[in-house]
Amino acid sequence: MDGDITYLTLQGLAVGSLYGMIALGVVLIYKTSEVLNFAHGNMGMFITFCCYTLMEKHMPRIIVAVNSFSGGGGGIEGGLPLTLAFILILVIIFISAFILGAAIEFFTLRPITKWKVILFIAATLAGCIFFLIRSNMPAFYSCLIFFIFFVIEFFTMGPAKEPTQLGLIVVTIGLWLALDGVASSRFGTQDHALPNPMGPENFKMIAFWNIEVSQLDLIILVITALLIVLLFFFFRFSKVGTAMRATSQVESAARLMGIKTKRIFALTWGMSSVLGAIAGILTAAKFYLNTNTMLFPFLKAFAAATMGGLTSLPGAIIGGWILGITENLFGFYVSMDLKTPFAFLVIVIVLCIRPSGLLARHYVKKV
Amino acid sequence: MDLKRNYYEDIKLIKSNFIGVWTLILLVFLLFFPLFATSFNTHIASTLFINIIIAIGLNILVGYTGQVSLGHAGFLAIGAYTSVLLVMKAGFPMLLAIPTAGLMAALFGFILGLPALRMEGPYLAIATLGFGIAVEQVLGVWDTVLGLFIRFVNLFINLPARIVFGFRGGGGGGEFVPPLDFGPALEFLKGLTGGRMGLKTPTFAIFDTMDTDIFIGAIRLTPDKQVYYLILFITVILVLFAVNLMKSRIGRAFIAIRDSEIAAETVGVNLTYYRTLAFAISAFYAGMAGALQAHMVQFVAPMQYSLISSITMLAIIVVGGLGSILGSIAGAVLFTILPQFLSGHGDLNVIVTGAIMVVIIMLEPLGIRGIWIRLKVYWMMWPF
Repeated sequence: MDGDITYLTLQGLAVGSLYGMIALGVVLIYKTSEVLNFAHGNMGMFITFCCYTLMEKHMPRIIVAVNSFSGGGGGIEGGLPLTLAFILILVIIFISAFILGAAIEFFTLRPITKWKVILFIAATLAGCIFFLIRSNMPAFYSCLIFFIFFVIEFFTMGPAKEPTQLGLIVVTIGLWLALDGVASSRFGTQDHALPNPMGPENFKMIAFWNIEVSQLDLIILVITALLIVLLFFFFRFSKVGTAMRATSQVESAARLMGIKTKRIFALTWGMSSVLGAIAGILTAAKFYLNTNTMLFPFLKAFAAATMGGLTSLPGAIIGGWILGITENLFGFYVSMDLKTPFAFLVIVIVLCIRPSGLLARHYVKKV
Repeated sequence: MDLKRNYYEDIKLIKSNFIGVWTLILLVFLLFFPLFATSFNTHIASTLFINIIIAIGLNILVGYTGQVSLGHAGFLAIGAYTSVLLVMKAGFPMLLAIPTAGLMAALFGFILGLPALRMEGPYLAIATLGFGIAVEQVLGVWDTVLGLFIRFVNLFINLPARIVFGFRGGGGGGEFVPPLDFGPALEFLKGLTGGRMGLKTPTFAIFDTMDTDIFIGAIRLTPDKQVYYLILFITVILVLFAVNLMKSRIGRAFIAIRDSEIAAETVGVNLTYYRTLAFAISAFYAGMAGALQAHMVQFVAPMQYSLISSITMLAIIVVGGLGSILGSIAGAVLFTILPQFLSGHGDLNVIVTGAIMVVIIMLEPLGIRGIWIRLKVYWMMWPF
């Protein structure tokens, strides 16, 4: 029953949920700090690679640690220790994703200050020494050049500089390239398969009455639903969520009300990065893992977010679903080759009809 | 410091004798460069000129008119394929094919500019990004697109008959009009773009003798040096055109639109006209550059025009300096020379390029042009 329309729709819905999840991260950042984050996909990819390394290389060690902690003597295969170890890995991964996102915001997107320049000088100096010890001369010279850059900047620096909107986009593009390079030098460019945390076998198909769903698709749908509910309650009722909403409305007013808006920005980036990591792990489980895994899902998610309206969280999810389902149906019934161009055609047509997306107020340029 | 006393001083091409002399020296240097440079360096210089053309074209759109484009590689691809196919299939002379490619890209730019009229900021960025990706993908699966098109045409011409006689599916009943046979036209269009593998393109042939050396007195010009001179000539013309355009009525209209659309409209700038014009001019530059590039590297494939190249173009102008011809040239120089130093070190190339983009924007939001202006002010004001 491969051609079954319900099956295709469900499959599209699952892929669309992935798009929606990535889009949520993009929208979160755009809403608060008006930056189109082009590094989002690669941040997710990078974290997913870290997760893969932990699961593939260090799983036995982690299981031993979990066992000694819980006092049990369970085996390595399957069962509770494996699940516990997987949860531990996820916790580590999410914390590091949060730190990565917040660090990117703190170091590269804020107007630069004297203290930060000193930090950069120290970091590049450490890099120089590190690469000199490893006798990696090209990397050493690159670090040295950046070191000299920052030293000159330290002595000639004027007041803190406010980057332009387009400049911030270019910063994220630069981060995209840098993360891409680091990932492919560290992890190689070949394909990897993310191991299944629930045991050695592959994901099964589950049948509800006549409808067949892949186990993984079901997991993706459930996680998406959970995330939506969680985010809804977070923004509606929690103190931090309310502060985030306030900051995204008028930053200066929020600051006057006593909200530390800079901290809110860093928090948003961290949250967005965690969302990206979840989406990255699920995408890698659904397809495969290499340095380009997240490229097209990310671009489509970006487009889906735009279709939804870039400032609306439900819009991101709905845009992702619309894109995923139409794309999947088009791919099956018309042409697989033209799936991607068709997806972008849909976006352009939607934007022509509603220039500021489906669910957003009209685009207002903040002055 | 740059005090202007009247309008004529403002629109003067060469501001002072000092600048004039240095420009002349630069031009003479560029003229004699290939005579003592190696073949490889000549090639790099030609690539640099092509990047300058692209950067200036994009800067007209992004820096001067304030409309973001993330799909500029699409225009590059259109220019490249137009020129290559005109030369290969229609037997155009190359000197005619290259401007035609530019005009073709300009036409597409105009068409893309129409829906862009309604969009702004990030929405425009995504729409143009979609255009760029669509062009790249469609060129790769051209035959599928063709087959799909024919299927839709046949479906469409049979639609009235189907509505009248009912949808009975299959070949019977509904097929009232026989499917159209495109015959020779189809044969001609099939495999036109060479699919994902790309096409091997003809070399430059300006005087039909481009594969032989030309002698001017005692100076021998090998083919790559002739290519260098052609590209240099076109680049100088296009740079001059851009510089003058920005001082004309059109350029001022572009800048007015960038600074405030509402104010521009109030003083009588026709938004529709000038915004689509900006797209067309920018696409013209990209098309010319694409055609030159395709003939220079003698190979054209969709993957050369991926998203990453569009994004690199945007990075060139933002790092170089938005809204400045000099800035675009500086950015193009940086992004052409830098990979040459770092090539051969694998991933380090990408990492350092990314890091330089981040660092320059962080330290100097106006890009290289900002650094230049700061230095100039510092020296002019010196003891103060």
